[in-house]
Amino acid sequence: MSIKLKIILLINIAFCLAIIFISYTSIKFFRQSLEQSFISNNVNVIKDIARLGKQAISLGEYEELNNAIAVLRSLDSAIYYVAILDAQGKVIAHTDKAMINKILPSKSVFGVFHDSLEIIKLEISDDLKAKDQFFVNMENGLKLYTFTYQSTLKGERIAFIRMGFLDDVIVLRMNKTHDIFTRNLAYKIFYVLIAIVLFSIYISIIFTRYINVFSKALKLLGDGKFGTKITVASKDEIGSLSADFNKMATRLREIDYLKEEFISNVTHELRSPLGAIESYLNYMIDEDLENMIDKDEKLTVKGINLSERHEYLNRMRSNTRRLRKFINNLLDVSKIESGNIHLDKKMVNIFNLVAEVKDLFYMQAKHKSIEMKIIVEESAGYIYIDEDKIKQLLTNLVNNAIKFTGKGGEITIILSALFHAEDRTKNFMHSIQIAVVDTGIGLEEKNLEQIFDKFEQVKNKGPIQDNFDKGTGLGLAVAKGIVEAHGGKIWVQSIFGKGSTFYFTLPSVIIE
Amino acid sequence: MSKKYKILVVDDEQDFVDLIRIVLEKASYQVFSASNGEHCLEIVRVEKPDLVVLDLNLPNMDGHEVCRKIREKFSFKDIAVLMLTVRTLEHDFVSGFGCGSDDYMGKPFEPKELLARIKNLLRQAGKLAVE
Repeated sequence: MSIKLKIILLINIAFCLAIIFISYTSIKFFRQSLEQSFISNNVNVIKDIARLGKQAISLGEYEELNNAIAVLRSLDSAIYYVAILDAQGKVIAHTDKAMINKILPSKSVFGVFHDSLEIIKLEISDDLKAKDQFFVNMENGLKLYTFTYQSTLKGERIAFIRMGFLDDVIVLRMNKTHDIFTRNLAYKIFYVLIAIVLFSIYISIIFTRYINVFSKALKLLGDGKFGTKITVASKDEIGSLSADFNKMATRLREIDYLKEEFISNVTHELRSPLGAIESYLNYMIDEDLENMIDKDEKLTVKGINLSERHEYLNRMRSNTRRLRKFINNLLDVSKIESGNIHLDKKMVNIFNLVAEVKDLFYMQAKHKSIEMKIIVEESAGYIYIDEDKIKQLLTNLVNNAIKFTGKGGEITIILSALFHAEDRTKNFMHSIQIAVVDTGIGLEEKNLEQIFDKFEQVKNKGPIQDNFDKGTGLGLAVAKGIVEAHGGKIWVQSIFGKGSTFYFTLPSVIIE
Repeated sequence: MSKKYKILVVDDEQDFVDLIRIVLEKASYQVFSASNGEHCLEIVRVEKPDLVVLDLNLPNMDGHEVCRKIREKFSFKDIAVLMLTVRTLEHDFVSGFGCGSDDYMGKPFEPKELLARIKNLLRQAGKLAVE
């Protein structure tokens, strides 16, 4: 999962959890406050009725009281009944006219005898501590919320008031308000959620933008472009990180430059004396050969006869050549790495080039009884390349092939043209492919990847004849550099024990 | 070889100069040597050699420049130039020809190859009869 996605998910999950918690508690709180306000509102109502009741009782005008509660009931459909009883328990006013003047047992006034479902003690009255109650009970098969209240005058109980509210109406009403509240809340949460998603995307973009900048720069750095710089204008940690990165890149470039300088200087310094040594050896070997033909082979100089001397000089020359080859490769690699590889391109007949390289190995192949052949799968004709470098590359591959192929083996160079799918004429050839197939010892799967790396030589070397055959570990790195400088690709396929095939492609450039 | 051909060897490395001298004198050439460009041009002016074996890497004035200066006054028929270089990459040789040298050879060299190339150049210049 990408960091971008992780940030988005993380922010969203965190905010969602917070929203769920907040909305759950607020809905719960809203419900509670709804119930609370229902109770406190009706406590006020009952107090008002009590005030009215006191007046009515003192005046003996119960008719007015009845009218008042009738009006009250007509105003609120949740009211099931309102009853007012005098101190003796006689109903003096009731929303149900039939109940008036009936005497109710005093117990019933307070609801104690009812099947109370839940009794909530409330401090309703200021002047009397007990008996004022709010409770939930059943009457005539209906669930009611009942409020009771005692009206007093100078410490004397003068009336009881009792109000019943229909539970289903109240609940329905509360639910309605509750629903409106939840719906509003849901709308708001929806907008907030959209905002959060956008916010999280924004945050993730900000963070990953920097990560992308850094990863791109690091990739360039990894590819050897040591001059890579990051420009981040921010003054925060990311700013200082990019400053550190730039410092590192600069340092790497310096080190790389020093390395290039070092290699270039050392190799130049090494080449001159080596060249002198080799030239003298060439001369001595030539002279000795002539002497060996002209004179007695057994001619000895301090115990070493001529043919022995000849062999020792040859060994010295082999080693000198090996050293020279290594230095040349090293210089080539350093040129390729620093991008200083110079291609001197011209139109080259690729078949002729391949044939020339094959001929170079005529003696070597004959010596090991290796059969060499060229197969032209698709005639490629002329191609725009640096002839010498491609020759160097092919020579290298064929040399390796011979080195790792045993006596009586076979080396095939397959030349083929790759075409664009739409047109198979020469103008639409997009590249040529050359494969060097050998029947040698092959490569192990694990070695296929790094074989083109510098100083990478596979340990199990197989049929190597002498010291001079030892590779430098740079040949394939140089080969890769040459192919890539031409815009082509190089790769290898191999079956361990059966042989290897090195492929490379060179893009065809059509010159107008 | 009845006439002694004059060959000038220019290299800042004495070892090379010595070896080339040994090889060439053995083949009956008259050998002059110089270790830098200025010295070389001086001998060219005084001795008018038939051929100059010129190293590409010389202090102060490099082989290309020396070669160009020789060509300002002398043609191939007068003085042939054989360029010697440790650089193995082709474009160096090509630029060597651009400055007017007549052949090139890599360092380290095979004495036989050197002699063959010198002979060839002299023949081309019409100084040596075809054997």
